[in-house]
Amino acid sequence: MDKMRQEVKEKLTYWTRICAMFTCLIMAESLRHFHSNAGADNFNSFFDGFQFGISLVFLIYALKNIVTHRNLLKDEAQLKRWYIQVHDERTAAICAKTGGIPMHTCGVLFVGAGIIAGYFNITVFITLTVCGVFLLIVCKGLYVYYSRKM
Amino acid sequence: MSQEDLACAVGTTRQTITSIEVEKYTASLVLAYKIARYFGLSIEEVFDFSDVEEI
Repeated sequence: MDKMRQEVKEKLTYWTRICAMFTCLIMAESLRHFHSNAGADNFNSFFDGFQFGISLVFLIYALKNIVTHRNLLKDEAQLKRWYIQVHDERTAAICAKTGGIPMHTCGVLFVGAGIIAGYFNITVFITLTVCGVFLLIVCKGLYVYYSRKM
Repeated sequence: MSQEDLACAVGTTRQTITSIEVEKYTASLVLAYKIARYFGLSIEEVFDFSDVEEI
């Protein structure tokens, strides 16, 4: 049980860092918005809003994970269920077969890089974001396909 | 005994037990050992190896 708790604490630290990172990003985006967005054209305004929205989605996702992991530490039965779910060998086999971890990581990194690149170049922002979202969709699709096959 | 009970006892998910039952997924040696130990039998008694080709 200590091993399970330790793992949850590590995940909690990870999601707290992600949460802090996106909070900083949203604050920076908000400051930039108030300083430079006055009189911006429609496209710039749209992309500012899009970047803000994506950052907000990541922040909410991180917050949801923090709350979930905090609750796991309070309930042992739930903690055991979570541990089994995370360490299930069939899920690991599906992930290995679909290249799930590298593809998921690349997708998230592409979207993250897209958000940062958006401050400098809109074309790079669109390209990276579309690639990232496409990778994430393919990753999920392959996972669903192999879940039914295996 | 339900699939959920067995899954919980051997530390896996119900979906994995279902997949093993319908022969969609081949259990690892460790999981096969845990399932056999849970029933108090040997691995050969729980799993069917009749279609394994001899080289």
